[in-house]
Amino acid sequence: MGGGVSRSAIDRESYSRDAWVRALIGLAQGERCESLPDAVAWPESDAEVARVLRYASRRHIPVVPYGAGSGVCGAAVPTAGGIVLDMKRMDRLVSLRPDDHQATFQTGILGQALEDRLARRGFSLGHFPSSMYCSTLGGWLAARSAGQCSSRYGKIEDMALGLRALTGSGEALETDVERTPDLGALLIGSEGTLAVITEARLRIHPAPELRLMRGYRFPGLAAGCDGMRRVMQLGLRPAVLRLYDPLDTLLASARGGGEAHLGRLGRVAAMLGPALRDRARSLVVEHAAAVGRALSAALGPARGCLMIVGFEGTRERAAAEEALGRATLMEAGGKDLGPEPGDHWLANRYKVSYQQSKVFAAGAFVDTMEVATTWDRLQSLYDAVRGAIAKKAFVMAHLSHAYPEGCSIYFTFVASVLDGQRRYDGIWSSALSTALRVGGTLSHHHGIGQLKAPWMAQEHGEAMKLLAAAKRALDPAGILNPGKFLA
Amino acid sequence: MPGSVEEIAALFARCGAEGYGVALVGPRFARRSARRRPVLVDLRRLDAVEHIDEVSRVVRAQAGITLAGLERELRARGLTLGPVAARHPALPVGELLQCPDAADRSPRYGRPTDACLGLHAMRADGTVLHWRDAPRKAAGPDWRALVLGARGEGAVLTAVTLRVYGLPEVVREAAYRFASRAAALRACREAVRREVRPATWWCTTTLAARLEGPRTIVAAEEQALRDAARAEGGRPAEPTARPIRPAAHLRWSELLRRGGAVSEMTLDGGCLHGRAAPEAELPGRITHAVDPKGVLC
Repeated sequence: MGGGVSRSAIDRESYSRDAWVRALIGLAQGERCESLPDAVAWPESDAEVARVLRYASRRHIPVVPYGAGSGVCGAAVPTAGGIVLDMKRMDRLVSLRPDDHQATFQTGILGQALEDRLARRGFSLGHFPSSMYCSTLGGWLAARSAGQCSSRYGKIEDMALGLRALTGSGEALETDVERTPDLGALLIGSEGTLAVITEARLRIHPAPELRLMRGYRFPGLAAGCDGMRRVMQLGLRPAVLRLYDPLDTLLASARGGGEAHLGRLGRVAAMLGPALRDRARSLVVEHAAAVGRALSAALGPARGCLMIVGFEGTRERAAAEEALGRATLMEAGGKDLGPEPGDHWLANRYKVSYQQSKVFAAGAFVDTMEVATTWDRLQSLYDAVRGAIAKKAFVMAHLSHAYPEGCSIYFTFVASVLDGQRRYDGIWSSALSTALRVGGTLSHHHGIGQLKAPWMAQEHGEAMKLLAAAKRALDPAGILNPGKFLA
Repeated sequence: MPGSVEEIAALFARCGAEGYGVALVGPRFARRSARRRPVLVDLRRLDAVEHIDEVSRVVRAQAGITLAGLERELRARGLTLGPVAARHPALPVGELLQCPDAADRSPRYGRPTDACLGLHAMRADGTVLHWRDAPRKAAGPDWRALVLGARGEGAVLTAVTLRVYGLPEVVREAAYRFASRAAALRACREAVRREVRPATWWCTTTLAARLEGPRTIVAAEEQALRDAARAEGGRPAEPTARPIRPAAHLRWSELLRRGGAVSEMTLDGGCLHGRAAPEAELPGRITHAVDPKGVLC
């Protein structure tokens, strides 16, 4: 094994979790990790991955593919021990075909490194998740990731034109989106349960010549939604289209557009002096749900919603789309705030992902939930899920990843760690059941992992048998990422 | 010709019990030969439009309705399926999705299978697969891949939910003639890079495009196409009819090497006509898993 194998305690501990908040709550409360792998391996080639898989398959040892550990649903946790395959040594640009607008990468490459490699040749993938610095191409594919510019460039499954993968028995598979049926669609989103994806051929785009960012204020969420819908149904392709609900708008406005969700509250607390600050912070944290409800009520009926919009591409096309987009949004009731809010958002767009530890330090946890539905159900999905979470946590939301027929809602919620995992489980159980009941999806781009696995039967019904059969076909020994949605 | 989902289930059960295969009837299904003695099944009686959501621009219809029939219902509401309806008016929507051809795509409207937001399909054992309607999801593997494009093997589409579109504000035809096919293709590739996304286009030594959409965007596309054509010596020409033959989507470097008509060019390539798209080698184990008795052929 070129990259080595380790059975050291520190490596096993390091690879015992990803960024699933439930596990982090346990960690904050001093719980011992019960999901230690037996070994960690760093393969450097397909041949080495295949060797591990063949070895493990013969001995029925679990194998868990691992990217950068930024998943928030517990998909990469080695719940049954075994071998963790850290793919990050497989980070090569295999080929770049500028004339065909295609590039093939090994899947262990980190997001920003991938984008840097393309930028040097004048291209971009167009995939910018907020975990850009700490997630890999393989992780994106495993979880069906979406980036902040998905309304223009699509989700990762729209970018992947072909995959190379190894089944549970180490057999190589090649997929091509132009062949039907497309086996790649089955592997993407399988979260390491059907195969280990080692290479992906991706559609790439010329780097944009022009980017035009802008902010708008809408009188309410419904008017903002209507504006988003109109823009998308005109066939425009904004790179960025985000609408913040009143509470998120309040905090975003106070912080200038970006930063952490508790940053504003923390700043208020800082002004109060040490003693008062500690008391205020603990009050806010302990009563996060009540604070959220009170703030929501205080905002009153004239609640404004901030929208961030960005168009990019060739100079002429971006300008034409931006002009039509602006006219459309203003016709829908938007007030043009100029470029500043958009530019500010762009400059700070990844920061929010790195504020979690501050929230934990304040005695709270923060988590996010992303669901999607069609435009006709969007407001009822928002109201229902928000209502379900608000009983137990401070909750705000923004709408992003818009499509002609619908949109994703991204809820952010904060609650005290005092009740720890019990409170956490209660929030998720209530929110997911509500989302499915009112026609929302189980997930839009974070994937399933352990967190949402219990709802998979409700989402897919009889098709779960189909997935189980595919699992038996591709991983007959059942070694790939056991204990997840495909046991 | 079953007229309901219940009738399909009863038919499948009987075929399974008596050792018959089931083969779907239709011009695209016919490309495959049946493995077993088949009972021919025509789904065109399943032709109801169940719901049109004008806000989300989504339609739910039974799989046997023809594209022309569905397009008629949509046009009455100011909506459209896009150019595929005019190309294959007699094709049932279920057949289009189960037997896609590379050239069904449109640079502006995408592939028909991409527009499928939800579906109901029946397996040979009578169980119903249901993909809940959603713009997108990240809820595990996309098992629709075992239905869409699977040519009726494994499961049969009975109803679908599709994205539909508003009728375009303006439509413009543009065509340019070039000294060589290579020059036409180079102009096309440059136009694609300049973000020209026509509803349809095709290329021999003439590059012809049908541009649709909001007036200002179409005007920007016309200008970009004109600039790209002139740079390769293209002169304005009359659009001519395009061939409708099976096609395979190839990357640009391959298209530039080969001869023939190419259509629906996008950033990563175009559809070369006269050459059928290869079918995937799904591991036999998966095919078997979907339809263990091999009833659907």
